[in-house]
Order: sequence, then C-alpha cells, then structure tokens
Amino acid sequence: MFKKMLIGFALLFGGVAPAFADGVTYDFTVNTSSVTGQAGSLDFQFNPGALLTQSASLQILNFSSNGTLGSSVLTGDTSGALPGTVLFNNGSGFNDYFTGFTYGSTITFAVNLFGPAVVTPDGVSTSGSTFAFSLFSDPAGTVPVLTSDTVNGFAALVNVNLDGSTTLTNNSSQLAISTPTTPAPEPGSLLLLASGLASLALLMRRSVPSNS
Amino acid sequence: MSKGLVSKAFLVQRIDSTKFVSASSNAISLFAPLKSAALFLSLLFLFAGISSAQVPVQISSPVVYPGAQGTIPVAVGIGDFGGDGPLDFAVVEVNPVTNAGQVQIYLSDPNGNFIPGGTYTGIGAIPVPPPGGNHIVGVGNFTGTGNGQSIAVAVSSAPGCPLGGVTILYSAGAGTGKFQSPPTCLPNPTPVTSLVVADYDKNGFDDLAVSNANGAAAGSISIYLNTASANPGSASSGFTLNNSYPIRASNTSTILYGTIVGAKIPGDYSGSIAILASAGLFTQYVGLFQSVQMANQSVSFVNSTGVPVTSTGSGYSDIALANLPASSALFAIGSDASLQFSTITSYIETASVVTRAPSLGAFQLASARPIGLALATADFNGNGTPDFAYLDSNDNLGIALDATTTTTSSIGPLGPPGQALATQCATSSNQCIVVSAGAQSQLNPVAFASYYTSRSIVVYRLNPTSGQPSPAVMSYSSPLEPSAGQPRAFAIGNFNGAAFNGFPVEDVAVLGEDSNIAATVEVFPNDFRTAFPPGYGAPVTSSLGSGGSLGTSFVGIGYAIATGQFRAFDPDIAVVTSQGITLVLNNGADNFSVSTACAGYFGVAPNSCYLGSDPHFPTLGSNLPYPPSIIVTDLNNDGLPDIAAAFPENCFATPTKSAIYVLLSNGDGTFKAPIYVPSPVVNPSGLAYAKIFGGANPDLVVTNGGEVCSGSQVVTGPPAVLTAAVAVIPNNGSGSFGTPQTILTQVSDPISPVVSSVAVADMNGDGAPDVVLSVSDGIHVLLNNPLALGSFIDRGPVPLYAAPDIFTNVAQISIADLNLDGNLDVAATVSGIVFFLPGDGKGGLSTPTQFFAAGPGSNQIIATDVNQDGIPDVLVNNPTGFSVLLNETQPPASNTPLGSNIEVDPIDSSTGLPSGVLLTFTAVTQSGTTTVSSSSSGPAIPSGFQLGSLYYSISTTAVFTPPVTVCIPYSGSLNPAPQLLHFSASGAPSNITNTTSPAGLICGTTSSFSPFAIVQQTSIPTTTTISAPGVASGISATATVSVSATVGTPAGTVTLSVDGGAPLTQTLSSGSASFNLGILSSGPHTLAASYAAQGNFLASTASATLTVTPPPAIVPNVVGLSQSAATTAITSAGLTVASSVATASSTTIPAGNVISETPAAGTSVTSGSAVSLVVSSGPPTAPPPVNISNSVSQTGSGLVYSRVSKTFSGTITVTNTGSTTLSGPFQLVLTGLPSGVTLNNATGTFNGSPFITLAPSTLAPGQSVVISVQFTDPSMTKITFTPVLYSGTL
Repeated sequence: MFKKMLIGFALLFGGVAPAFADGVTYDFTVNTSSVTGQAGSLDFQFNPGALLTQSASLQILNFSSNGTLGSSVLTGDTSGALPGTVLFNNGSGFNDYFTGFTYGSTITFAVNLFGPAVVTPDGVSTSGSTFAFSLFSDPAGTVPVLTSDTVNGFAALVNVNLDGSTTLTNNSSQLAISTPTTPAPEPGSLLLLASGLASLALLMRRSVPSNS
Repeated sequence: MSKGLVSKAFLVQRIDSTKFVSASSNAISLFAPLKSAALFLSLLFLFAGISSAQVPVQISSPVVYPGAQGTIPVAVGIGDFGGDGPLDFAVVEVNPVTNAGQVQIYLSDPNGNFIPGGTYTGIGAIPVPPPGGNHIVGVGNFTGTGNGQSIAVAVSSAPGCPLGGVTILYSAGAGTGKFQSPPTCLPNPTPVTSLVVADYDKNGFDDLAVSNANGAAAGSISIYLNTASANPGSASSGFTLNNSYPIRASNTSTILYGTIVGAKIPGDYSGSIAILASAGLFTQYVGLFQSVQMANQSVSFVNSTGVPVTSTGSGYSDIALANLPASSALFAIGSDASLQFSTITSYIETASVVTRAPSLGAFQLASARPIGLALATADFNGNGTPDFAYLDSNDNLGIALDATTTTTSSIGPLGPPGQALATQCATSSNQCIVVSAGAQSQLNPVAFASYYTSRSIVVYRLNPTSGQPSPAVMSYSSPLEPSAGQPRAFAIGNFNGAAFNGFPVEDVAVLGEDSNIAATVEVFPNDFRTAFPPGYGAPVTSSLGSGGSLGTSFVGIGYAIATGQFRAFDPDIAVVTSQGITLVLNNGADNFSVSTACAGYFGVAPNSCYLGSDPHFPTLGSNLPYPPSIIVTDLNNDGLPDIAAAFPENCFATPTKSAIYVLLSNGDGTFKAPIYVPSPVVNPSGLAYAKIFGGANPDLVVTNGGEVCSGSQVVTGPPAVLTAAVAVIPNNGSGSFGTPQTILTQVSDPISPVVSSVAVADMNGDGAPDVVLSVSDGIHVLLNNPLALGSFIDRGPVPLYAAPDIFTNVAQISIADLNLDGNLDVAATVSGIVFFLPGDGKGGLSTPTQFFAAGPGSNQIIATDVNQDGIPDVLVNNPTGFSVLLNETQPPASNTPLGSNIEVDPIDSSTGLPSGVLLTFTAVTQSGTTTVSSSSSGPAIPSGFQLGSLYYSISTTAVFTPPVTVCIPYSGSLNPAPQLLHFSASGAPSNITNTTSPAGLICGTTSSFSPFAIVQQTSIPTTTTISAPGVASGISATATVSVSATVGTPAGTVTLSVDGGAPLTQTLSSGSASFNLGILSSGPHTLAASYAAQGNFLASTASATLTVTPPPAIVPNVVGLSQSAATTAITSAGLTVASSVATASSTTIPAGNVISETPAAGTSVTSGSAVSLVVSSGPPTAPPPVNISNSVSQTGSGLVYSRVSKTFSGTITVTNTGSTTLSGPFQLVLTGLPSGVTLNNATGTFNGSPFITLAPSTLAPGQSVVISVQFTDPSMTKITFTPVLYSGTL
C-alpha cells in the first residue's frame, strides 16, 4: 500500500511540469475589437526546418479571451486544448492547433519556447524551428485578419535560431507581444519536484531486498 | 821618384761610339833608337822640341774587332780595296774544325776606323795554323792597275783546286770595296803554303809566286805569270805557270821547303823572293831568289843557295825581306830568343848564273826579348830605312824602327796576343796600319786539351793625321827578371795614404816570382797626380827587409795577394804562398818588410805561416790549375780587417783536398789560430764576401772551378758539394759559420772551368748584394731577393762569345759604373781583351759590343779610379806586369736646364747616336742630365701586342715637376695605331699614348721614368657588317660592307656574295666598301660578306638579307564574309592570308565568318603582303558551374504552413565561411526534396532539382545572404532537402 502511495507521489509530483518549464516566453495580447462578434478561427503551429533540426517544444499558456472558442483540430505532435495548455513538439513537419473562434475584444496568451534547441543548442544543427500565429475571419481559416501578411496570413512569427536565441516577427498592429522573458521555476514546483524524486528513490531502495 | 826603369807606352785607344775611352784620334811619339839597355819609351808629344835625328812615329791605341763567330783569324792582307786612299784590310778566318776558310773585309771610314765590308766564303781549306803564317794571303792588282785590288789566299784545297792552289777574290771594281763571288781558284799540283804577289813580268798585272808544300813539286817555288793583259778579267786561266825553281841547301841535294816572302831588292829585275826553309825539325835555311831579265824570257829567277841559320831553340818562326838604303837587302828572322837581322853582304854573278847568298851578320834586337812570332816590315817613319813590326810571345806587338846592323828598339806590350801580323803604309800619306790577328787558347791541365779563350783582330794606326794624344792604355812591366817568371796577381791599396781631391790614390802591388821561383812583391806607387808624365812610379823593391829581400829570397811561390789595414798604419799586404799566409808589412815611406810571423825564409819552419800546421791545410803544388783566392774584410765585427782564403783542389792532398780558412786579426799584424771551414764546393777557386743574408757580418761566397782531379782522386761527396757551382757560407760572427747554401747548381763541363771569377755588388740598386759570375757560358748576374735574402734569380748568361762560337768564357770580372750612366757595369777580361758589358740597373747586362786591348794577357782585373778623376778605370794583370786602361768617358753634361717647357733630345747611350727621343719637361726645378738608352730587350710585351721598335730606358738627374711629355721615334705602320707603353718598376705596362704627332713620334705624358716602348696590337679581331637597304622592285640594289676593329682600321679587300653566287670583291676604304648589286628579283636575298685575315687583322664574316619589295596592293573588305570567301577576295587582290587565323566569339558574327582584318580594308600595302583575319567562333559560352558548398555554411529556418497560400515558407541563409571573396553568380540547388514537394520560387532546375539564383554577385568572407523559400506540399509531409551552392551558370 505504501509502495503504491510512493508511486503515486512520484508520478504526481515528479511527472508534473512546472508552470513555465524553461526557455523563452512571449506574452501575446491581441486587440480583436475590430472583429468582435465575428465567427472566425485561430491557428497555432510550431514546425522544424527542412535541414537538420534540434529538438524544441512550445506551449500555449494562459489563454484568455472574451471571445468564444470553438472546436479544434490538432495535427502532428500537438496535444492539449485551449484555453488549457497546448503543447507542440517539433518532431513532425507540421504541428498545428486550429480552432474555431468567435471574437471578442481581446485575446491574451503566453508562448513558452523550451527544449534543447532553446536551452542547449548543439551547434551542429542547420535548421531552426518556427512558431506561427494566425487569425482568420472565417471558420475555415482562409481569410486572414488583423495582419499585414496578406499572402500567408501570419500575424506573428517566432523563430528559434541555431544558437538558441529567438527572433520575433510581428505583422499585426493589433497584436502586442511582450519582451521575451526567461522565468525562474516556482519554489513550490521545486519542492514538489524534489518530493517526487525523493519518493522515487525511496521506492527503489525498498524494492531491492525483495528482489534479491 | 825615379821612373828610369819604367817601360811605359802611352797608347790611345780609339773607340767610336763609346764613352769608355776617348774617341779622339790620338798619337804618341816613339823615338828609336833608345839608349837604355832596358826598354825605354819616351813620349815625343810631351817633349816637343827635344833634339832628335829620328822621325817620330805616332801610334794610335789599338782598336779591337771581335772577328767572325765560329772562326779564328789566321792571316791579314792589307790594301786599298775601297780605292779611296786610306788602307783597308782583309782577314782570313778559318773554322778550326772544318778548316773552311773565309775572308772578311774591313774598310776604313773617314774617321780612321774600320767597318765590316763583307764576308766571302768558299775560299777553300786552310790548315790551322797555316804553314806559311800570315804569308798565305796577298793583295795585288790582278785585274790591272786602276781596276781594284784583289786578294789571293793559299789553300790546301778548294773548289777547282783539288790538290791545292791559290784562291783569288777578284775585285768587283775599283772603289767598290767588294769582290766577285764565288772566288776563283788557281790550281797547283800541291797545297800552297805561302805566296808572294809581284808583277814579275812587268806587264802591269800582278803575278804569283807560290811555295809548294809537298808532292812532286815539293821543295820548290812556282811562278805563275798573269796573262790577264791578253785576257783581262777574273778568269784563273789568266795565270800561266812560268817555271818552278827547286830549293836546295848549299852544296847538298837536300830538298827544302818553307815560307816565302817577297820584295824588290837592289839589282833584281822585278822582285825577289826570300825563303825561310827547312829540311827537318832543326835545320833551317834562308835562301834568296832574285829575278833577272834573260834575253829570251820575260822573267827568270836565279836559284838560291840556302844559307843555314842556327837556332838556339825550337827554330825560327818568320822572315821578312826589305831594302836597306845602301843597295843591299835585309832579312829579319823571328827567333825563339830574339829577332835576328841579316844583310846581303856578298853575291856572285857570272854570265849565266847569278847567285846571291845572304851573309847572316845576325844581331839581336834586345838581349831580353821574348820569342818572336811574326814579322812584318814597312817604313813607318818614312826615312827610307825599313822598320819592322813583330809579334812576340810576351809583348804581343813590337815596333823596331830603322833596323840596322847594330841597334833597334821596341815598345810594348800593347795589345792582346796574335799569330798573324801585317803592316803597310799608304804611299800618299805615309800613314800606316799594323794589323794583328789571332785566337788564344790554353791547356786544360786535367783534360790535356786546349780550348779557345779569345779571338781578336787588332788594328794600330801609325802616324794618324789628326787628334790629340791622350793615353788610354799603359803597361807596366816588372823589372825583376821578368823572363824567369811572371806576375801572378795584383792588388791595389793606398799604401802611402795619399789622396787627391778627396779621391784615394790607389797604388798597385804586384805578386810575381823571381828566377829562384820565389815570390816577389813590388809596389808601384801611383803618381798620376804627382808626377809628369802621369803614371805609376818605379816599383819599390829595395827595402823589402833584411836578410834577403822579398823579391829575391822569399821562399815559396806566391799565389794571391790582398791588402788590408792589419795594423794601425797604412795598409799591409797579405800574400798566399805555398807556405801559408804571410804579411808584407807597410812601414811607411815606401818601406816594406816581411812579417816575422811568417817570413818564409829558408830554414823557417812552414808551420809558422798560420796555416801550415793545420791538419786540413792542403799542400800547394807548383802547378795549380787555379790559384788560391784571398779576401780581406772584417769577418767578426770587431773593426779589424780579417783574412779569408780559399785553397783550390789539390788532388793528392790529405785529409782534405781543398780548404777555406779564416784568419781573425789581432790588430797588430798577427792573427788568431786559423779557422778551417770545409769547402762547400768541389774546387773553391773563387771567393768573395757580402752580407748576402743581411746579417751583421759578411758571408762568404765560394765558387767552384770544376773538378780537376781524376780517377780515385776525384771528390765523391757529399752531394751538396758535388752539385754546387756557387755556395754561400753564412757568417755567424765570432769565427763560426753556418751551413753553406748553394745558390747556383754545377754545370758539367769537362774542358773549361765552370766559374772563373766572382764579384759581389748591388746590381739592381735594391739594397741587396747580388752575385756576378763569369761562368763557362757567360756572365751571370744572380739577383738577391731583398724580401728573401739569400734566394737568387739568375739573369744570365750574357756570353762574351755566344754559341755556336768556339770560345769559352773564362773571363775575370770586375764591377763599376764604367759608362757613368748610374748603373753598375761589368768589365770582363780574357787573353788581353777587356769586354765591356753595360748594366741596365736592373741586373741585366748587355752583350758586349766594345772590346779593348789590355796587354798580352789577363790574369786578373780590377776596376778602380787610377787617376783620381772620379771615374773608374781598369787595371789588368798580365804576364809581364799590368796594364792600365784609363777611362776617358766624360760625365754626361747637363742637358736638362732649369725652366719651363724644357725640350731635351738626349743621345742614345747605347749607340752614341741621337736617340730621336724628344722629352718636354713642364718645369725643371733643378738642372740635371737626362739620358736615353735603347735596347731590343726589356719588360714583357702584353699578350696580343708586338714590339714596334726598341725599348727606351730614360732617366734623369734633373728635378722636375710632372708631367713630362715623352715622344718616342717610330717609323712603322700607324694602323693599328701604335701605343706608347710606360713600364712601371715591376714591369707592368700602361698605355700613355695621347698623340702621334709630330710625324714619326709617338707621344705620351708621364710623371716618372722607366722603360718605354712602342707596341702595336697583333691578331686584332674584326667585325664585319652589311648595310643593305631594301629597294622596290626594278630598282638597282646596293650594299655597304663595313669591317671594324677595336684597334685601328682594317684595310685590304672584302668580298660579298648574293644568294650564294660568285663573290664580288672590293677594296676597303676607311674600313668600308660599297657593292652595286644590280636589279634583283622581288623578295628576300641572302647576302654574305667575308673579310679574310689581312695584316694584323683577323678574319670575320657577316650575313644579311636584302629585300626587294613588289608593287603595292589594296586590302579588300572581307568583314562578315566566310573565311573561304574572304580568302578568295584577298588573294584576288594580290595579297595573301596570314597563315595564322585568329578566332574570337561574337554575338553578332556567325561562326566561321570574318570578324575583322588587318590591315584594315582600303589600306595600300605591298603586293603579296599578308592580311591577318579574325574569324568568329560564335557566341561566347558560359563557364561550367563550380560547387562551392564547402566554402559556405547553409542554414535554414523552420518552415511554417500558410492556410492562405497553402504553402510552407521559410528562409535559407548562405554565409561565406572562407577567407576569400566568392564570385557569383550563385545558384542554390535544393536537392533531395521529397516527392510531391515543389519549390514555388525556383529560378530553374538543375539535374532535376530546383534552384534559386542568389542576388549578390559576390560574397565577401563572413558575408551572408538570406533566401526565402516557398514550397507546396500537398501531402503535408515533412519537407527536407540538401542545399548545394554553385558558382556559375547552371
């Protein structure tokens, strides 16, 4: 019984990521007042390049809007659902989260970029990864809105460069993107992590005699 | 001081072109008879006005001629060959090996000298010595009076005279001095031993009387009458044998033969013949053949009845026949002890037979006369009484004036010995000449073979008409029984301390021997400045010590003599005798005594003479081949003169056969114990001293006289001794000596001594003493190297008689500046002749060209100032005393005065003639004398040059400010230009030529004097060039060929050929020649020019091309035409297409067509000229692309999908990672795109992959370019690719 409890703790605390794992975080705020009430769609994607690309991940965090989310379609190595956290890994060529959305006046969310390509660039990869955010005025996602990129319809782009740095391209005047930060992990999270790790260690010690 | 016993003959040496003795014509006076029983000769010119009944005879000093190489003179004939009045003479010379005779002519010149007038060979064979003495030659008018005198020579065989006869040199014409050659021989049945020339048949053509030697006609004389009146000319057939007359002794049938002489005596018809005949070795007769006129004969001789003459010795040697005033004849017979004169005192004459027998009322010329050798008679003083000249064994030449039955007189010795004698007086002027000739020989005591030592022809002129007396040769004889012995050596010393004008007065001490074969020393005081006439006084002999004078009682033979101040008085005399060495002490006031340390008297032990007790002292015999040598000098640096003596090889001596001794002086007339020094040579015959090695003490120079021993007595070692001809013994001082050093290697010569004399002097003025030697082959100067003292360079030999002559150079030598040119000269003497060898101041000697009579012999020579005039004279020791040759060379007068631009043209001191050299001194600050001496030898001429004329050594005593212009005469070619070289002291030449004018002079400037010479370059390279300008077709072509050289202008001819055709020849003018080649065909022509070697210029060739141009043509316009069409157009225009056609790309001209042409279209060019074309190769092609991916990094961004465009987009960044700029255009190829993926913005595809052309054309190092890419990926598969970057066009 105790053993099962330890495993539960370990899984509970050791396997839960902190609110911001590491990397770089951008805070997006979109003034959608010009399209309030219009039924449209939102698109998030985080893709590798065509050359040798180091592993990287991206989270959409803290999504908040006075608009209404519709149904979503996930493609590639994408998981989660808004307004909860949506996680992207660049393992596939096209990692996309497309969701219907009726606009309110604003949308806010955070984009957290992390993983080896951000934190520990290997110096040998030749392609970065790119995050793209698009707003459409139609539910099918064919008519871009609130962007000057009328060709491809991207409101903002964030490139993860080969040296771990990031490069922001903002094509929308209604989109405010904060200066990227690298937030420190929360103490509670650390404590929880430490507890989980300790539980795992104890579990492994107690199991040894029975196996021997 | 009495001179009553002095026999003194003052003769004047007449030498032209020399400064050694005055060239002025001089005379002395000779009175005869003289009353003194001893010989006495008074000088008339010094006593003019003295009463005398005799007519004086003036005799010039002898002039010596060297004679012909390889011969000895055996007879002399005198005549006026030149037909000019003064007498000439002919010398019969014979090769002693082949007996081949020749006649050498000497013709008188206006100055009274004689110059060679030609040599005539083919005379025939003449025995040596000739049996008839001088009477083998005669001079006569064989071709008639006024047609020139001819010469007849008695021969034993000759061409045309196989058995003997008379060879006749017929005159080539009156006044020519020449004779017909080859000579003609009159055959005789036997060899002719002597002949007489006279016109027996009075037809105006001289006839011949000959003495037959042997065979059928032996014992007879034959008369050949000259029938040239019927057959004038030179044919021998002009002589016809008239008769032969036997010679028989009185009242016996003994056949006589002998020497004949002739003269016209009272009572004969045309000429009589006297004969000195022999029937055996000791029986001699004098006979007379007198010509008589028979009724039916043109001439006939009456046979002589020989009158026997009595000889006191080995017989009579010569005969002369002359008239006495009282209608009688006189014979003079040369005797072994005297001259005997006989008169014809009675004769018998019948109707058919005339017999004239001489009555030999003999008398002797003088009681102590030596052996008479040859006789000749003439009336020297013109008083009608015959006089005689004679050669004798001692005095050489004597003159007996007015010989009568009672008295006569003689002079002498005068000159070198001779065997032949002739004399004759010119009727017109009563001037006479006496000519003696002969060759001297001596016996090698070891080989017992004679070898010749000298040859001379001596001329004495009697009664010369001009000139002032000036003594040149003086002879002094010992009065101490000279017939018993002869002086062996002499030395000079200032025995009485006299001086004159600062010059020491050197007296002479003569070492001789008396009748007891004991040494004598006689001191002749020098009275040249204290008595009149000047000369040496009577020798001091009366005070030579008590107990027997040195001259009469001194035991032992004297060998050598020297003087030295062995005590604190006037010089004493050191004598080497058979007992050792002793001193004759000089007590002053002409008083001498023999040192008691080695008096050498009878009964005195020989070991008191310093050397006698030394175990090495070789015994000295009485017949030493070479005498000992003695020198006096301070050998141990104590201020006292010491003695060194060399004792030559004594074959039987033990333990040493030769020795060198040193006696160190105690300063009181005694010496320390003798120091024995082993001889460094086999036979130490000569000794000298000098600081050869530069030390503090004089070293000893020892010469080798050659091995004189034979068999077991021959010296066998050590090797250094056997091979040394001259060695130097280093003097360590204090009586010790170092290891001898050989400075001249022995030359093997079995006959003559290797080194006969040695002297030491600084011959080249470098401060180092040099060694001068008289060696068998000539005079050697061994130059001592001042930088390595003791090492020598042999400059010799300079022979007195050069090969292939038959004489050996066994001279004695002495050194002085005899010609006063500032350079030391060598005086060498042998057999009574003094040879003068001028020195050049560099150690070089000139071959002797001047010869001086120096008495009857020459044992020793000393050059010293005899008469205190500051000029060295020459003393020669001879068998009767010694002779003096006064040097009358005048110091060169100043010819270089003070001033500026002083021109001097000195006399050539080597010839006595104007040198032709012109010197211009810029400024002379102190006057002096400038001299020039020309020579055919000198420093080496630079390679490639030849000597233009002579070397000129110039020196001056003047002080001057340079430069000096030196102009040397030159008469040779001026092409190539002669160069005036100035040789430095080391012999290095420099060309100082700056002008060749005035004509005949080559001039340059110099700041110093040394040898100059004019040279011309030989083997001068030339360069030939051709100038042949092209001409138009139809125009005559010309070419100019030039030949140049680095020096001078080549002359002669040069040839030119066209296209290998026949060469044309032209003469060069100023180095070039023009050729007219005519009209040549169009096109190039090969010209070849050739200059053959001519003169000093070497050959050279050249070639060139002459082009004849055809008429002009116009270049057509072929641009845009095909190449073939263009070619057709060009050739149609008379032009050609250049063989090389260029190509170029063109975007406008199709490939194969002409882009451009050269010359441009419309240009007028020469017909046939080539037109160059450029043909199009089509548009230009791009270069292949180059993969430069390795030079860049290629990175990409992530690819995001646009829901609008339905495409993935991103970027690719290309960065130049190299260090050099990359050049575009750049093409980025995306290879490996997944199927279905399309690059939307591709520029194109390359090998199936899309590519994008980058914008930049270059990429600098570090520069990046970002390329946007956009893909369509319908299947939404992951897009991958591999980028490849190319440079270039894909």
